[in-house]
Amino acid sequence: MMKSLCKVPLFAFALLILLSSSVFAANLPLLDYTGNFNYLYSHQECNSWKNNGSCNGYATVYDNKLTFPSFNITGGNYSNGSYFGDGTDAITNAYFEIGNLFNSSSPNNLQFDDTAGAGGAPVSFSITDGTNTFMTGTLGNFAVTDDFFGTNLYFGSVTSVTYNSSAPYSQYVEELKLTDEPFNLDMNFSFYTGPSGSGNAFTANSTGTVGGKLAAGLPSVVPEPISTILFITGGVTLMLRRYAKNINI
Amino acid sequence: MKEDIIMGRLKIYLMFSMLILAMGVGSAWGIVGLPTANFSGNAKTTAPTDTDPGSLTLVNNADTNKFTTISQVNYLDGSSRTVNNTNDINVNNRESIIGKQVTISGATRTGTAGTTFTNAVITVSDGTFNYFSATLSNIMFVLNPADGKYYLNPGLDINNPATLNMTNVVFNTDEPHPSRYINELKGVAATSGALGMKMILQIISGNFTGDSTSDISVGLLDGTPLPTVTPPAGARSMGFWKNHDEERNSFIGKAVYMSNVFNTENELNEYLSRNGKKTMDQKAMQQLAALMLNVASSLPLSTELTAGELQILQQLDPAAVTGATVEDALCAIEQAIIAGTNLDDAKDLADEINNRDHKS
Repeated sequence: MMKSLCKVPLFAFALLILLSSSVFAANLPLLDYTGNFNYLYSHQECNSWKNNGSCNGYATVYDNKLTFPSFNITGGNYSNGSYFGDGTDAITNAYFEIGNLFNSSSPNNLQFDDTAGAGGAPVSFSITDGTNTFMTGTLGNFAVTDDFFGTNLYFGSVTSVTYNSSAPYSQYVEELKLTDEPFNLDMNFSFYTGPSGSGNAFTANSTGTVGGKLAAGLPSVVPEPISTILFITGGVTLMLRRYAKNINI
Repeated sequence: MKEDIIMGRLKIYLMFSMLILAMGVGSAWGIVGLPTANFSGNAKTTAPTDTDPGSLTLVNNADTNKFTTISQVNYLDGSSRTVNNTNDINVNNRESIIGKQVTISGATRTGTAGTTFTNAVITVSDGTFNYFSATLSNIMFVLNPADGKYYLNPGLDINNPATLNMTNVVFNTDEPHPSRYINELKGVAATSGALGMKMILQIISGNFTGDSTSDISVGLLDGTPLPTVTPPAGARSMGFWKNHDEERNSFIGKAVYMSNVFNTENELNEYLSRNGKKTMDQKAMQQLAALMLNVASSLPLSTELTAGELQILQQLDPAAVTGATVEDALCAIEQAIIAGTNLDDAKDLADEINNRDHKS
């Protein structure tokens, strides 16, 4: 009797985890990219000058600015799953242009938008080859996690997209037009300088490289990390109640 | 007895939950070291059968024209390259590794979880010439419940030897296959011989524990081995570099490598340590020596100049505008010193940058 009771919550629990995993297959088409980032937390500015023009005193200016000196689209996968590499689609000659992103001090160091401090707006987002702009839009929900899996943007949201009909033909772009917004930008940060891990990313001047993808649309279930933890703790609670009921019997 | 069984199973379930929750607590400091190389493409896994344990490979198929390749290299000085330049007039600057194939061979499934593979060989080649090969070990992928991707070595950190999963590294270049990236990597890997690699896979089709195709969302080859000294926090003054032997000695090799003025470590040391009355060119060289050490340790070349620094740069380069970087300043300073002109401005600019992060 007790063993059959145990199997029910375990099976349901396992099914929850399996279902959560299976809905994460990439939404196609998608673009792969690499790039570099530069986070300027603060710098020193002269605020007092001597008569001879040299500086008499400095103050700390807090910038809290995240920029991307370079992006490179390296390839991707079309809607049928086939991979296209560098040079096989016009989009691989292009790169992302992202507006300046700002955060504020801990505990808000992992949230970015167009102004320092909370409650800002999305920033500009475009894909261009320097001569032709393939598409423009806005990038929002730039919320980074910084944990065991590294420093990651999971669900950056690209919306309000307009396409340039004069841009070179790109099978990727034509397929993307057939999908619905928002498009999902993810980004993994690898730090050359500056702290990261345990939520400490972007609390000091930092540099490094980024990589990730732009995928068509969000997954059909969006399990933010806290939701996943709630699934697990909810499942544990369910089992505890069943065992408590079993003991009382 | 019934209560003992219940409590035992409860403990197992609680430990499982704690493990998942503990995934939210990462390392306190995760740093990768230059030079690095990014690679992109697809990965494949095969399911185990009665006669074949199943394997992990990177897709490189000439018939379908699908390859996993080096997409970007990031050099010691912080600059990056996504296109080869085999005809650069500076032979040391030539690069041919972009677009070359990355392969993993010999990674067969092991264990019962379906996400662990045996040690393998990772290579970067053009099909006949190997630029790089190494033994890749600790091939254990972890599923991230937040995004459904499979992570290999997500905590790659040059300060943590356990994450340096590439050993027995062999480098090659020759005249038809020049590579500034390989040459720089050879220089920094010499001390420990261990490098690191991390990879993040996004499933396109199938199941990772069976037959599957994945997009390589992130592929990174890491460079620098364990540093002997922690880089100073921010740019430091000429006086700091002059008086801190351990820090200076840790970064002087890289500083000379990056310099267009100093040819040897002895030369840089000589100018840096000079005391007493100095000519203007000696003062400029002294500040330049400190600036090279800052750039080699903790001051990225892409760092934007402050308004004060820009003002001085414009004395050397009137075309400089807002957004000019440390690299622009360094170039102008070196040119002034080589030409023997505007030495006082060159000295002032280097001095201003050297003191930017530790002013009162």
